[in-house]
Amino acid sequence: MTDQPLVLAVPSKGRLQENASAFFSRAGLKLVQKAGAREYRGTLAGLPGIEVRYLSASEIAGQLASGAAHLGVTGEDLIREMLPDPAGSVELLTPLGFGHASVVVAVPQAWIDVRAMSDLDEVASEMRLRQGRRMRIATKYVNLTRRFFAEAGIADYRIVESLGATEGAPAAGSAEIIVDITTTGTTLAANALKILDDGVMLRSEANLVASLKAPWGETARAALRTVLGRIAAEERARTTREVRAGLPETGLIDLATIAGLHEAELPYGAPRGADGEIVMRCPVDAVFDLSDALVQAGARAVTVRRIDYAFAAENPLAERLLARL
Amino acid sequence: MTRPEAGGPSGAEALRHVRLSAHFSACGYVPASPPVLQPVEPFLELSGEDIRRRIFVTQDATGAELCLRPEFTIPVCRLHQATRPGESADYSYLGPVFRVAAGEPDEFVQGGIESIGRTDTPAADAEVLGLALEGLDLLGRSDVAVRLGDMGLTHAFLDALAVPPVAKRRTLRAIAAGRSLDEVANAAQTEDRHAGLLAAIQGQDAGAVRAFVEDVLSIAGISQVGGRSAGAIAERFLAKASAQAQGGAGLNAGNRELIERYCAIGGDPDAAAAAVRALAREAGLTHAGLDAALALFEERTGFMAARGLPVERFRFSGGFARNLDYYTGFIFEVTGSAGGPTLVGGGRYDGLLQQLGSPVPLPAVGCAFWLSRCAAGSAAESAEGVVA
Repeated sequence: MTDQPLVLAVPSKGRLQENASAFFSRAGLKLVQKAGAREYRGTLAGLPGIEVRYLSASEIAGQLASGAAHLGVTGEDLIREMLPDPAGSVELLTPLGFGHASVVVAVPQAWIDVRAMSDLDEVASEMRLRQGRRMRIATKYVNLTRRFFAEAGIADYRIVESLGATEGAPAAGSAEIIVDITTTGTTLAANALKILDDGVMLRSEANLVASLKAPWGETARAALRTVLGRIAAEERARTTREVRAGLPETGLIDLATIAGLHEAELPYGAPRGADGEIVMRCPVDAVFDLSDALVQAGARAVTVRRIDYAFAAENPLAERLLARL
Repeated sequence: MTRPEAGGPSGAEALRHVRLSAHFSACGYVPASPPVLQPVEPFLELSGEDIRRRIFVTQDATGAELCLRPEFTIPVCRLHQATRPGESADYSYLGPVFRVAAGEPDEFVQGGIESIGRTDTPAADAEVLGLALEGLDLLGRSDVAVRLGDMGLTHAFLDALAVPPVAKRRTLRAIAAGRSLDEVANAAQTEDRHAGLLAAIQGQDAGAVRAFVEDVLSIAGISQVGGRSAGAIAERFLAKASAQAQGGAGLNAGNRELIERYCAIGGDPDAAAAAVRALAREAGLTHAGLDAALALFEERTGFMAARGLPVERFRFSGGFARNLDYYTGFIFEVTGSAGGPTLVGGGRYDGLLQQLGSPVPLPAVGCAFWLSRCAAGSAAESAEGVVA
């Protein structure tokens, strides 16, 4: 197996790029673009064995599918649309919390008789019977549409491929309805379109995605562990809080029971000696209940802190992926 | 990526293919060689958007979409329409077809026949089935199972039940896809934002209400939206209102039960015809179309028997249906006697030539042989024979 570097593909422009950069830098991974903003390659500061490529979100999906990139940031919508077998060619490692959008079926607002996919089925069959032609759907999500309509049992339709301004197709007369991506629905409303009640095909957001087809040599695997290790450390830190307290005067406290009740752990074990300090970690949501419980049990000076990073030997993201390679 | 490739027929197989073609020619089916590259439009129009993922699509220099022929019937009929429009003719064919298939080669050889323009429907149906079985015999596959269906009879049965057109189309589609009729049947009332309005306009003068809805739409500046006129939208809106009063626009429970009983009818053609008659009588159906379809069915069985076909071994199934924009009458499929994939599939498609532009109706019937499956099956069986 060739021992090439890990190729990390990140969006090359717009809000997606900003958000991706912010995500990586939170995890202590600084994207360094090579000389000049025109350069489409880069590195991660201080991490050899990793090559960064700046690409469009759809190119990233394509390169993950073919194995030209090992890791990438792209929308779930593109993965599901562009890859014939997403489960067999990529692993969605973690949703990133930005780039939220939904792929939806939208029809003219004037179709007051159409509220659900079952209405659409009837209208489509009626068009086919009365006008002798199939209802046309404008979309760039050809595969998602085909799959969704097959599941809904609708067959009397044709797809008109649209590569821009899909929402204008019904008004322009090139299609009756559309399947498109939307964040707020404003563009659809402005074009006198409405989303069907059960017409949300996919709720998508940006994901960190790994390719199963890429050449995973030693260098790439080592780089993967480092990158995912930092991402996991940041995620663990972001979702947990550290709770510290002094032991009660009596020295008597059942920490194991308190920890068990509040999903907390004792990362450094029980305090040793009477003047020991209690150090616990718990999920963000459990912080106040845990603190109260400690106070009730006589613990002193209970404080809660944010953590920057929490590294651990186990690396669930990397293990899950490596198990599949 | 490994991709199974077509191995091309072996010498012995190729020889069998030649004998098959020769037999069809001798029976009056003239060899036809339509182009491999076909416009994609007719395939999508007749089979629906869903087949796009199963065919190989490409473009010519002008951007027009072409595909590698996924089957022969449409190409042969287009050729006929281009060279002998409106006439009658019998064709045979043999050559590669192309389909995106999982686990099987994407390119494989099909042979078959198409009989265009004959008006002696039951005799032509029986002849095509007869030639299918003779052809299989020539290929070394005489131990087969034959399954029969009749789209014409199914249509007539739904008409006799007075199932409305849209519900009928959806019912046929559910049957063809082997899905339950749940999706067509009237579901429990769902919450509708317009429920109050719909209730209020029930029993009002239909014409006035329709004019009102059209007015509302035209105030909004809407006359024709998404290919539907304000009138059509108003009409369906009102139909929905009255359907809501009667429990829904789909199949009612009584019709659904009768259709399910029709689909469950199975057995040799004579027994099946008797069962359909009995069901119609029990349901109190008197419908000229249904009587005609049953008469045609029985006449066809008669022609099969007259041809010496083992009718009593054929199995009719009321729930056997195929692509509804294509097949209009008799349909059949032949498998190995132990089941397995279809070796020959065929049927009647009386509407196809007109859909392809024929100015006059031209009935047609035909069948296609999956030649590589015929060979694979016979090889496996002879191997088993050696072991035994």
